[in-house]
Amino acid sequence: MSARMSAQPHLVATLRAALASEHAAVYLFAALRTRASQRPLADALGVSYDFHRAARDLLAERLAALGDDAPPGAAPAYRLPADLGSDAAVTAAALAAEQAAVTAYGDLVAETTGADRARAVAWMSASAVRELSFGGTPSTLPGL
Amino acid sequence: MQQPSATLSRRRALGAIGALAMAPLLAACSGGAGARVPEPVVEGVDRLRAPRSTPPAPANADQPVVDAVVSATAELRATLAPYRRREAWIADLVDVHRAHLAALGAPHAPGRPVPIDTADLIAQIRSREQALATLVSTKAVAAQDPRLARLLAAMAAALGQRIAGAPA
Repeated sequence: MSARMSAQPHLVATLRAALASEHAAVYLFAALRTRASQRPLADALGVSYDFHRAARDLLAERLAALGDDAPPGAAPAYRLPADLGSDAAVTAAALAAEQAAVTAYGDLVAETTGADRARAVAWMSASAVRELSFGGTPSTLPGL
Repeated sequence: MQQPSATLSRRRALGAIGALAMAPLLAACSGGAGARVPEPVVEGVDRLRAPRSTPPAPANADQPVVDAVVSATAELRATLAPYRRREAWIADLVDVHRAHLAALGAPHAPGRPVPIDTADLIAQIRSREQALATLVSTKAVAAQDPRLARLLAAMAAALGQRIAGAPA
């Protein structure tokens, strides 16, 4: 941990956790997309993949700007949900992942301020909307 | 000018978030049936030095945030209420606004309906919901209490889901 980073250790820890989650999400959505047989589902998975990849890159850039010289990298592989042999199973896995993302972004909202929080608020809404692409239903307070 | 009944304490708003978890504590504070008012301790107190009135509550930095969201939400709820039978989508929006006001501790906050162009009702409502979502998102960033920030972010996300699911 560099001297510059040590001024905001809590923020760095929070962003590191978020980055680790994004690495996993990128892996998951890439894997799910290869298993979708229907074009609309593949397209929706592609939207999620692109979003989480962009979020991953933004978090990595933010940590670099904070002086973090050891941000978490992607694992070689992540455990995938069992039995992804149907579009229904792929859809359910995607929905669960986006719901988890909404909750994680809610944590990020609570743990950050300023521009970091503004980004997390926007991501929370975006993931909540993407839930609908995977059969999710609108809720009163997503992520709470 | 702020309507007195729309002015809420952050304590109420945050209390609503964890109402279940805090219910026993709040009951103990408010005093239920049979609760006794504690006797003031006067023995040994110098009456001349004692405060003559209850000290003012500490300033709540998030009060303007809560007031702004309650006011805007109550206004839109009142605006949409007359149209709730036209579309299930509109009825759902009214219910969501009501739930959000309850989460902020203001289930009965008054709101003045704003005239709406019924010739293009869905588009008008979508636009107003988008404006409310933007306001709530902005206030989520401004909130000092992290629990309030998270609640407001969740409210904005809920509105985003409804906007995305608007009838064509």
